[in-house]
Amino acid sequence: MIRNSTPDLLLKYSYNELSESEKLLVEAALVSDSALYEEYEEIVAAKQLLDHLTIEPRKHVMRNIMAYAAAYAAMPSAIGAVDTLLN
Amino acid sequence: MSHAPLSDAQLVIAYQKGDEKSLEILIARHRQRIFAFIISKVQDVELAEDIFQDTFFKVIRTIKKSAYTEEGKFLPWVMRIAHNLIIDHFRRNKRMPMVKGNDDFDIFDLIKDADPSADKEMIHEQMVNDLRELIKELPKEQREVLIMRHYAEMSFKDIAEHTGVSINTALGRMRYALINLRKLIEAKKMNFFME
Repeated sequence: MIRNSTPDLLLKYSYNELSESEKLLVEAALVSDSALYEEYEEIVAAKQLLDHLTIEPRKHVMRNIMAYAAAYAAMPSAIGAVDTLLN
Repeated sequence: MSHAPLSDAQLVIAYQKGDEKSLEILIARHRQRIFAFIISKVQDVELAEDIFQDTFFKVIRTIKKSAYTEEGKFLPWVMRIAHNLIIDHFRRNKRMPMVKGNDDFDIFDLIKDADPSADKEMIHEQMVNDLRELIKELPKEQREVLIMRHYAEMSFKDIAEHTGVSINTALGRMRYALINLRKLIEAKKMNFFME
């Protein structure tokens, strides 16, 4: 029965999105079905590959935020007034 | 002696009291999820950076004014701010947010090596470049779900809601993204999995 919905369940399992009872179902199927286990390994391998990359804003964005924080700490009312005017 | 990392709530309190390093840690802890979320919606790197920046400007003001009331829910709160700023942007520009974007969308020019300090830096760099190119070759809908699930860490349910498709469709797109990634690797005879 699990075979029919396997691809989606495996994907949710690998991203930890299943309930405890669904997890047990998938884990039991993984133990008894070697083809299914291979599919699972493929997903895990792809995920590990994707972990080599990260998406982040560029460094100047972080600098701008920290500069804003410093300015706000120094002159909160002045910065707040400018923000009010701008927004 | 090792210390457990401070929780978001503890960092917020520390920042409120004047420790700016705590803000830096909070941003570093969550920047990928927040930025990936924004970019998945606006599909424009510079606009995403502007919204990311404005999001944290608002975070700073709110915390410093002691108006932060979301104890224990820092990330969802920041995501809501980002989401509202995205909606504001599209309202101002009188067009609906996302999901279609254009095919020149090139977020992956921004994607960086997660482990740049490794000894095998050159081989690793080549691998990362190859992987970046492979992801760019995925169909747009698959690439979008992949970014939302893997980098923004959104659940498939949230992805379905944000993209206006069923959960099954979101799952299918992710599955095909991973399958296609694998196929591309095989077609180009790359070996990413070798130790």
